[in-house]
Amino acid sequence: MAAQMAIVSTAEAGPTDSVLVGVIRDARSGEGVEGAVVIVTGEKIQGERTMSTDTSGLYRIPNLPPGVYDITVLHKDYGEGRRRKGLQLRSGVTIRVDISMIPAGTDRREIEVAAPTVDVGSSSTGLNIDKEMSRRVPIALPTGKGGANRSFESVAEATPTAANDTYGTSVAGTTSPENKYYVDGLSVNDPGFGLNGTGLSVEFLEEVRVEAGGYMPEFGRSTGGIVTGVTKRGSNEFHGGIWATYTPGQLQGQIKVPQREGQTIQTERNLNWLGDTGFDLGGRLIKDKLWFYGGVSISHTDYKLTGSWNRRILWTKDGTYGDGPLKGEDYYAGDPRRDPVTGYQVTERIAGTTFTRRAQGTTVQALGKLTYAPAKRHTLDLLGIYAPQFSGGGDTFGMDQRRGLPEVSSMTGDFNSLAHKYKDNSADVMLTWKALSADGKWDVDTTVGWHHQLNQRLPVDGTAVGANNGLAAAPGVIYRRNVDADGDGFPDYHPMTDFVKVPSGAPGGYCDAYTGPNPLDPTSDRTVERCPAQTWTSGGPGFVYSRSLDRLQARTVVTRLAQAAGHHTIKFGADFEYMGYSSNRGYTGGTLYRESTSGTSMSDYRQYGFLTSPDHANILPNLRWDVYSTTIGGFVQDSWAIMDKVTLNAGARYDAQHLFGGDKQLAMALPNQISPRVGLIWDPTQSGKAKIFANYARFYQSVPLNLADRAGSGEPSIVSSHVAADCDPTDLNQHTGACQDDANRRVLGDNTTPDSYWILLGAGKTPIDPKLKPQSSDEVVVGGDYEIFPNGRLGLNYTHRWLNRVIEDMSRDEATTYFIGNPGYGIAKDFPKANRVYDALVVFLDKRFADHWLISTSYTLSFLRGNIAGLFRPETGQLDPNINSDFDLISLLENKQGYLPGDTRHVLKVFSAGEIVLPGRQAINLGGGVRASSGGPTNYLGSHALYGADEAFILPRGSGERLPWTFRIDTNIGYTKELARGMRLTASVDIFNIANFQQVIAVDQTYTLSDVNPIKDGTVSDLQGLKDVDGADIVKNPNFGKPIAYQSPRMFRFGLRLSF
Amino acid sequence: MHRTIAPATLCALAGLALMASACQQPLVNCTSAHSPYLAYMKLKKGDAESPCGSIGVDIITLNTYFQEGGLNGTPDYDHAKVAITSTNLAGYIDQAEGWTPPVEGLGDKRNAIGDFSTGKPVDEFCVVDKLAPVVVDVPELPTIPEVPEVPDDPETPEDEHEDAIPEVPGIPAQSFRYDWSKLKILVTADAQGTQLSAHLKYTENGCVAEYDVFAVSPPVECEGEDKVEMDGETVLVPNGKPDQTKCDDESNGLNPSFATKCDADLLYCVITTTPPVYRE
Repeated sequence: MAAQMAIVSTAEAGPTDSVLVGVIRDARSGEGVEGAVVIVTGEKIQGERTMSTDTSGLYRIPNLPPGVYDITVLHKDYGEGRRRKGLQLRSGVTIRVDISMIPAGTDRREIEVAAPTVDVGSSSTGLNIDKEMSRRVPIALPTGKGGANRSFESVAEATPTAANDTYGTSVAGTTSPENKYYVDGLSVNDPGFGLNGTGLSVEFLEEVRVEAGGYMPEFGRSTGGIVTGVTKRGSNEFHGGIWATYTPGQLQGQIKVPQREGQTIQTERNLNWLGDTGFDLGGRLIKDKLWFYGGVSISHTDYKLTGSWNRRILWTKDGTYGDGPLKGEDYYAGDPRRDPVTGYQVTERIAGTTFTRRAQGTTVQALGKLTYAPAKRHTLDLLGIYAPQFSGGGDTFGMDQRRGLPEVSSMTGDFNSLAHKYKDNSADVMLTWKALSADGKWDVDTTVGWHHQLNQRLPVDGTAVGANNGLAAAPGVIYRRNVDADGDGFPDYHPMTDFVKVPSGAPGGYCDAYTGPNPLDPTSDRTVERCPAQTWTSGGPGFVYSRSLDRLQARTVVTRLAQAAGHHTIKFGADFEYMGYSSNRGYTGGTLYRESTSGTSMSDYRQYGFLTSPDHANILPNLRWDVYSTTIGGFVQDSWAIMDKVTLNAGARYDAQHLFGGDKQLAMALPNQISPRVGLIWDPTQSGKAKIFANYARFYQSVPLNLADRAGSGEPSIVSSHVAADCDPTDLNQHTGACQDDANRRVLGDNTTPDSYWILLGAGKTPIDPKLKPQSSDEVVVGGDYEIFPNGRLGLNYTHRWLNRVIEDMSRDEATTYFIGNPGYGIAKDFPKANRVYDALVVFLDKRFADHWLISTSYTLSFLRGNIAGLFRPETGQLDPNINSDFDLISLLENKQGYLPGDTRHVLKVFSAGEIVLPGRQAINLGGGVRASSGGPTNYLGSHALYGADEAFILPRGSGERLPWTFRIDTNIGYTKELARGMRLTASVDIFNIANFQQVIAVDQTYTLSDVNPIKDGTVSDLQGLKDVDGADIVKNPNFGKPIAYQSPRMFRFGLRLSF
Repeated sequence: MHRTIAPATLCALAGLALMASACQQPLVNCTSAHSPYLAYMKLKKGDAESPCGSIGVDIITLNTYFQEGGLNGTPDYDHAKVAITSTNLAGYIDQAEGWTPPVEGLGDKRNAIGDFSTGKPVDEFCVVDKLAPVVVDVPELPTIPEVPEVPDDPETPEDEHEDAIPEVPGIPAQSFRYDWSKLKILVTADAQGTQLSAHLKYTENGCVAEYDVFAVSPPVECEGEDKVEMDGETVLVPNGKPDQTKCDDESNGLNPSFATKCDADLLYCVITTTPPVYRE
């Protein structure tokens, strides 16, 4: 036999496994050879996989985990086969290997063919990050979401068109909750909010696969990217490792601190340390029959919060500011001194008043996997993951897991009112059964799985939501008196000593108030506090919750090979998903009180409850809704290799989602989601070295259950107000006694209203427009790849992606009533249509680790504009998918159109790593990343009369000055010593932001805190003489446009790894 | 011949698979608007010249009260009461409560309360057949005697001078009764209780009149204004004429789809027929 191998490839495989497909041909006639036996062997499969070719010479071997494989072809007329070694398969691709054979007895001719790098049959864009890249290249910062345990989602940011956003990694101009997250074939999205629910460490992964767009119908329910972590599996040989990493806070580069308004108690937040350690082991229990893989990882993050007392510096005599924005403004003796540049009040630190607290969190991840071959052509995989996270409790603050930072940035309150105890656990179980028919023409892939999360935010003493003991029974109280009672032009805040004693180390009298003549009323004196409390919280921690989330899923995919004018790989499948969300939340003590700005009353700022008749209140200590949704879907697709020259991928999927509210009644119906997908791929070289492709796809969004929990169930709330002198809610006896006495309530209504003492909020479920349609986006991708050297491909692609209808809540009558609909359609036809348009041109060079080096580099030129960012609001951080405030009020709609926060026009990413092999079984590893990106747009924001700060776009979105370019260089240096055959010890250090660039990454966009209306199509010149809604001159924020955040500083991460 | 699968068929298939699902969006629960309404009173029976037959307009306020019985202690959205108060009546109560000596307890009787007959609207309407009557009997209010002038005492630095307060004549006992019935509230996603009709039998000191009531929420005044130059500045002065643009202004809080009319006598944006009253 002689083999002539030509390699082309075709459409995608399932979520994680790869497929080998091809045609065995007679080299002379070009006809397919029937009855040839193709044998595939490799470390990642049990035994061997074989298949005989059909009448057309076609073979197809599915269900191959990512790894390295050998192929052998046998045929009686063509002699003995030749083993083809080292074919590397990445996850989720279908690689086509055509082999030409010459009959025995004729001349032999062999052509060596490298493993294909160009996936010539797929129009999908994205990146595969294998374990070599994730280990050798420092991709994700150690701090931030998923940084400490190096979660797979955080490294996905290496993908061209991907970027970090507030809640994760966004892909192709979308927002991170729009992504679909998988571990192997298990969907692990948080059912409540759409974020990644299982932040598995890359240590347990073979590969992270990011599909940015152009994917086939078997993937659905996502308008973002598909991010898949492919776990390792056992083999006949034993492999494993032990690792540890450590990032000390002491070695952080100098941090630039933005200027802020001087507060009495100021807080600095510094990393103490973070790190992780763990082990994994894989091997066989029964050779070629039963394999195992498992491991445990523990990560810990520890921050130090340093508080200090500071006092305002007061002018000792009258005068006039001489420069800056305050130039010409008079000041008087006793006035707080202000920074002439920022306008902020100036403070000085009081010696002997420093105090410290810690914020800490721990994550444990345990993973186990069994791979079993019960019979030839059948494989069972059982995967289990348990990942508890704990933070806070005792005398420490917790960590905000969604952002990876301490939960507080400012310690302006009693510890018990600010601190929480968090539990964020996830658990996953999945069983996959893969079966191949005897003739190899059918294969069936069935998965059942369960993703579970428990998210708790409890009082720091751990008492339960709604309990009547401990801090759970203590109401939170917000003090915020700021009325100018003495008429001197300055707010009369509480003195800090109303709430907390000056630390004993402070010099005596440092915080004593100033008393002197009132410059605006010479007949009276005034008092100015040197240590004021602008705001202060006391009592319990207020809002607490315990959420339990479930995602049950079952999916089956059938693949069939066929022949008609070329070869067809036809796939069809069905899947079902049940999502459950039990949300138990409440306010400690049942009520969160808030002082009025005059200080004379104390209102029930937040309180669940309802009225059963006028002034008959039923207060709920906690509100619990159990909501759920069902989604059924199915797809059919065909990958048709037309005359084996051009591949046409075509298909469609259907989905229907139904959400049910806390009363078990239907809350929203989203049927008839039909997603067509079609792609065309041509290999001009006809040798597997290049492709030119175009693809169109429609994607529908799966609506997270937060909508069913809040809008679909209602949040019944009631408010009353108490005379402050008669109700001190920090005294529990008064909270349950005097504060509940109607005699001490203020009369809020009058005889024209049904209620005298109570106001009803959250009147019930939010109605749905009967003509509501699901949210979707469309995408067109065109591009090409070319293999410019072995294992290296150069590519260029262009993506155009736009939103269709969007689901949002709206009010047509300025917050009197709300409904959910599609802006611009149905009963919301007088709202502007939601739009978000993304255009990106990507040039990339990708070479996987081979011959001791790798490179993954990309340049992206992109444009992102519209009037909605996605499923959260980057301007305010609001994460209420499909019920954010984007379209809430007609008076806020003006000027929403423009460049969106994710519009970073130029992004360059370069990741590379190499290995220098030294004598004596040693090696030096070098890796690094360079990033450069242009700055995003900024805005002119004002306050809205109903919605408050930063909700009004005074000028069209993106009118502010763009942020500057940012650069970052990260490096990895390592040393490896092979201690024994197959056993390697590696010591490494990652240095992030090695040059400690401290470029500005955010500026203050609050132009004014005055209530203003947007200026339609306004320009900067229109801001002169801007009036508020009452016609008075606005007060401009003197810090507008000034930095409020800088790049993360230089950090060192030390690593040690023993692998075998 | 090509055949396409109609969305309805797909939907039916999906529904079949889900057993209990539907393709229609859920109906809104019965509710009123939680804010005042401008109630246009169309006299149906009685003397238009009498005190009880000449109300013309009232601002009424409704609120909806869900009852206990939901899961986990939550309200049962399918069982609700509704209450109505009248601003006209509130005026009489305020007067008595502010009298010297004050009359107490009248305000507790101001609400007319009834039960919605269904949890969800039927043909877009929620109905309260009958509300408990509001009966407010204001006792005779005695004459408040004159308060004499307080002269300034030149011996003290403070100015103690206070003008005399004249005598306030007493008011005879009065009685008011509101019998609300056939309350029909338009409840859709687009109009969440913000239009209603009702029947009102009103009794004032024995005088009885019956009205058809058409109300829209919120009340919007539509009196026109003239620009007047005053001290070199242009100011707007009400001119007593109707200004329809104020009813058509999309930021006035009324649903922009509602066809309200500026009533020349009332100078409020009103609906004068049975809801729904939408623009063409």
